Amino acid sequence: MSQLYDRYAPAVLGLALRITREPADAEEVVVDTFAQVWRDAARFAAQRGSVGAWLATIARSRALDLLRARGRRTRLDDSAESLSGIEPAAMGSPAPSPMAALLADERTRRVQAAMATLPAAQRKALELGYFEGLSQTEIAERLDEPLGTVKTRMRLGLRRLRELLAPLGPGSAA
Amino acid sequence: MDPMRDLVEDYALDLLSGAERAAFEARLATDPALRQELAAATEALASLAFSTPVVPEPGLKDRVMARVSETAPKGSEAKVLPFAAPVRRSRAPLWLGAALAASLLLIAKLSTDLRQARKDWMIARSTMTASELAVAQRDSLIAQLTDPSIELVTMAATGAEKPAIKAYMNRTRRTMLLSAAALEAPSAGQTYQLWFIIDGKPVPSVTFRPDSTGHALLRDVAMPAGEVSATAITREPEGGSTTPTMPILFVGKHATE
Repeated sequence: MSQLYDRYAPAVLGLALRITREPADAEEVVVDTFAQVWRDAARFAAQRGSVGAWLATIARSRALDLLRARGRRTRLDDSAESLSGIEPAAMGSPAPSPMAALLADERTRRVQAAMATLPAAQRKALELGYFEGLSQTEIAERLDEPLGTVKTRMRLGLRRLRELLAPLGPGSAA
Repeated sequence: MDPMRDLVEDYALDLLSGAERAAFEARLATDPALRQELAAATEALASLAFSTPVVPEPGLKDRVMARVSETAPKGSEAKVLPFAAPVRRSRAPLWLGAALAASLLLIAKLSTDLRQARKDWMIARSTMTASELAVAQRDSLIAQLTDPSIELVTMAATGAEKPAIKAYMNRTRRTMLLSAAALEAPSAGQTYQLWFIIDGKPVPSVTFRPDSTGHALLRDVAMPAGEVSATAITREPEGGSTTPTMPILFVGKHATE
């Protein structure tokens, strides 16, 4: 568990902070996520996909639950809707060791570069769904677009993202 | 093109209708290639999730480990939502709403009872697991300390540091157990790091922090290949270093291998 934490905590905290926008809430999500991972470890063995993807699913779900429990939802500013609007070093210190930092930076850079190549409309729809937990209907209302258009954008956006990140290989989600 | 293949992204994004979802899941159960496709799409979503890593404060790990230690593994009450788990808008007539509300009340009651039962069971199991774990750890510790090939190395402080550190080196298994007492807590962003000296050169090993009582116990630390002439400890930035930061705080010389 200690090694799992060392490897994935920055990724989980970054995701939680992105969704909750509150450092204290984000830390609570990190604690809850790793506790659930510990509790459900046996369930993971029966699952497919990387540990990173599994952690992401749990952390996102926890963070969105917390937001709903708090009765609020983040609303990204127009200026902060892209990944570049987030401050990765909003809390804590820089990445732990030069090698880990290098690897993490490379991965982050590639994902951000991939996101940047998506058409803005596709990226916005994906981010609203993923980081704000909006349903497709809510996204359509928010963007004032037909539901079918939103669905197509999300599907194409994810497909493109997948193609761009494929060289990262399985298990490289975090 | 396989029509199911076209639905992979939709499924990962939770865009399928109930019937489509059921058909997709049925096919998923028998089609390894499709499962692989879905895993790739899920990985892409996870990449999106982890695109802005933030290094946590050191204290957060202690909170996580404390929570983990009081949590029983396996089984779960928590739910994992699929992507975007949308709240579907209801278009049902009012009477259906009333019937649904009544059913929900019943379900709520049943689930409260179930939750209480599960909680009791979890507490019981958690207590048992913790005890079993403690016994197993103690057995393992005794076995490590009493192994015939153990060599004890006392690491002396080089400066004003008072603590005592003992390293139990198993040359056969090439592992080390290290016990430290009264260690000062490193400042935020710093950690202790262990080094093995081989041919006069320091080889980096694990990093560690003492607990709140200043005690640290490292088990099964792998010793690198080569003749280890000494073991040393320094203070390094969180995450450790590849070359030691002076001064060396503790050093223990080993008998020649």
